[in-house]
Amino acid sequence: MFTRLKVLFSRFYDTIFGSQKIIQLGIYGPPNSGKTTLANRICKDILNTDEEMGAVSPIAHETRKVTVKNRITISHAKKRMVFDLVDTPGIATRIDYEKFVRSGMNAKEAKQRAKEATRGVIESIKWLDRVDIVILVLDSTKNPYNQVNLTIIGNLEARKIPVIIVANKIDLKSSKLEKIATHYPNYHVVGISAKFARHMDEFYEAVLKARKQVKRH
Amino acid sequence: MLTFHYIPFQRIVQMGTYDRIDFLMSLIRDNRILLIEGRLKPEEEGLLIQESMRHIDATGKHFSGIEITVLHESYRQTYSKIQQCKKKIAAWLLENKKESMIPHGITIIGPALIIKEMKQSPEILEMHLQKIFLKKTVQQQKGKS
Repeated sequence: MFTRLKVLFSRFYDTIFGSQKIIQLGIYGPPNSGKTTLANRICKDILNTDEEMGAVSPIAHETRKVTVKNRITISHAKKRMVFDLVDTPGIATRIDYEKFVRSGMNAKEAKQRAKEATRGVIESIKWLDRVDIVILVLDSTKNPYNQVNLTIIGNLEARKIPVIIVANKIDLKSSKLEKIATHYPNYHVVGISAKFARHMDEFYEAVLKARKQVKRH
Repeated sequence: MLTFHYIPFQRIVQMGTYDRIDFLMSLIRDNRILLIEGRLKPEEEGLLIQESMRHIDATGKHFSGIEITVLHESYRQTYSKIQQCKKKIAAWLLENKKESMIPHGITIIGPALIIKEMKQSPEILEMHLQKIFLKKTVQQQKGKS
């Protein structure tokens, strides 16, 4: 509620006083694709800080609440953009309690995680109404042919929100960047390794390019 | 036993979005695999995912979510500028008839307690079932015989 009011107020202020438009840059994707790793990388690169946006873990649904980092400025080749970085929980159609238990959690912890994960998915989808550009982070070692990815893209198309598809984890041997590019021929696909900061320049360029396609909704 | 439920597009086209989601959810909760003629709108798919999340119980014993996939021909098609333009004009001309038009494809939705995974590549669909579900079915069959 507070975050929503804050966002609304900042938008109102910007409109009245004509300051630069603050873009809401949403990071979306399925669980464990590296969304928070990317968010942390952006903070590290741009803000020059080791302060992380969120914790990362090999267990799915580590991020269970939307987190926002306000007023980040990105400059590249005479282009500049001010944005709020929105890291969202992974969108899934199922929550696997048993998987949490198998990963070493006790029943209470697993139940809590499952409960919070369901809320996280709902929150992520609701936030689609508030973002201006979306970075769809996919794990390039996994099959991109997935209905969740298509549902996210379909929702963004319907809302006319520009999308950049990020094929993450290209540092891994099993990574198949071409497969993602083939499956999503109508989108700009950028292969990166958020963990090892590979091809981040290309990524920032794509974000600045997408800025031009933003329509206020 | 697996139960497939075929839903013709005409059966749901007159329903409002929320009624449609409720209708589909009630069938999924009844452990049926739905074969829907046509496709849901992306917004509806989003709402269905949200609604399914609300139904999940903490241990997932009664409901752990859904599996959804859509089979349709233009899945990976790249359209040239001219083709895109043609499609836009056609969509604009047919705007008023949209309600009666069946969107291409088949939507398959089922409970995650039964379907472990659906792999699509892209014309072939593999449905992997949960071991627990298969065990239960075998036990039921043995009980009957």
